[in-house]
Amino acid sequence: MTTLSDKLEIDVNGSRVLVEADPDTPFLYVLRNDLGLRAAKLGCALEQCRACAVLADGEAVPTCVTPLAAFAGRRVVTLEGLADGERLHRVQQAFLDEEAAQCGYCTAGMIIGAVALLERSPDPSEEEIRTALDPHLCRCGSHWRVIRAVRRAAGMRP
Amino acid sequence: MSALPAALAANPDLDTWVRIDAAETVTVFTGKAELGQGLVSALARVAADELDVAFGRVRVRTADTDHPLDERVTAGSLSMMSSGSALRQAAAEVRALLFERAAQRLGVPAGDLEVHDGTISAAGASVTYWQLAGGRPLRRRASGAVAPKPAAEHRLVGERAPGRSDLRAIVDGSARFVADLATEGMLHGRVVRAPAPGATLIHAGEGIPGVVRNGSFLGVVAEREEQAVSAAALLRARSRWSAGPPLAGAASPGAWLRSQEDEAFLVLDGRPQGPAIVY
Repeated sequence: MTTLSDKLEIDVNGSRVLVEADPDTPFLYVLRNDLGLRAAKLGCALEQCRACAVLADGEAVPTCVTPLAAFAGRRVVTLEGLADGERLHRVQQAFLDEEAAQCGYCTAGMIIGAVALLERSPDPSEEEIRTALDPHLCRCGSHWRVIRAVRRAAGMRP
Repeated sequence: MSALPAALAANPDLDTWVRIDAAETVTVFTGKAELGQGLVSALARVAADELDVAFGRVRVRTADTDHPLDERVTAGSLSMMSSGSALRQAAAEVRALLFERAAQRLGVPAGDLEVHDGTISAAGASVTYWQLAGGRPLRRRASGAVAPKPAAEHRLVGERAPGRSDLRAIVDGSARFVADLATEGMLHGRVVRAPAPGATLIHAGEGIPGVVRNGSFLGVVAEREEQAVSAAALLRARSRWSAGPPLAGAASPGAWLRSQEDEAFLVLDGRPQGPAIVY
């Protein structure tokens, strides 16, 4: 199945890392198992829940199906890469302030989705927030708090 | 005397719920797990209010097989109703026990005592919870003879702050779920589920490495997760199962559900008024 002779260079959270895995490997398994970045979660494995979302060149993308090879040459940022040392990214801080999570399984994807939204639309309407985060499923029902958190983050200094 | 909350009646030893620590803290126990319902913070509020100690002094230990407090499953939005009401009653009884001991120690009637953050005082003399019981078991069973505080006397329960203590790790990505645990040399597995409840495995697919079979339980282990995923897909395609018995009420699930016995009880001020249910 997997041949371990392939090595791909990936830019993750500001570091260039060599990954020894089949280029067809869904990227999420590489992140979690090879790189130890376990904030992104395996949910549906069908690109339908976005628990596995990361930023690739600033765009929020699912990683549970898309292969490793597709991420070569792109700038990948996971939830672990957002904070500046102990100082949380403003979207993380806003999620904390609004307690915008219940179990937290979808939170990595939600925060990544919100960061991508605020990059392209710094002051989004509630409608825009709803549309942007629509692909992110939360079974606990944290959506109202998530919307408040994104609005709060938009009002914070980047 | 009132009936004990069901989880306390099932685990009546007060030491299984509350421990006055040597380090001027209080540890409370629950048989429920934190699943993001905010259990840890909620139970800490209940205990801090009932025991009259600062929120920051309360430590919460969730479901632990090394600790003899069994509350079975964590499900159905019942953590606070079940574990919370039991802890509240247990904490009220522990507070009363500490008042009894303080009254003896200080030589004044328990009714003349006041407590502030674990320090019990009367007429200039004082003694702390930690002096009375720090690091030692209480050795008392819950009796139901003490009533918890009325809701109007709660300082923390019902207030928004302080918030959940587990959220920081969730937003910074360091929180670990069961599926995130990794150990050296760990293998990855996938279960190949039966296509229907009660279906039995007739033939397990062949020619696939890492297959695990135990009766009708079928799965696969592999060195890498993606290998387990593709091996399981292959195994699923190559295996055969019996149909299994028909599902009850499959023809009309709504009517079947309505025809089942239900449990109806009134909840008043956090206490079920009716037959107790332990979950």
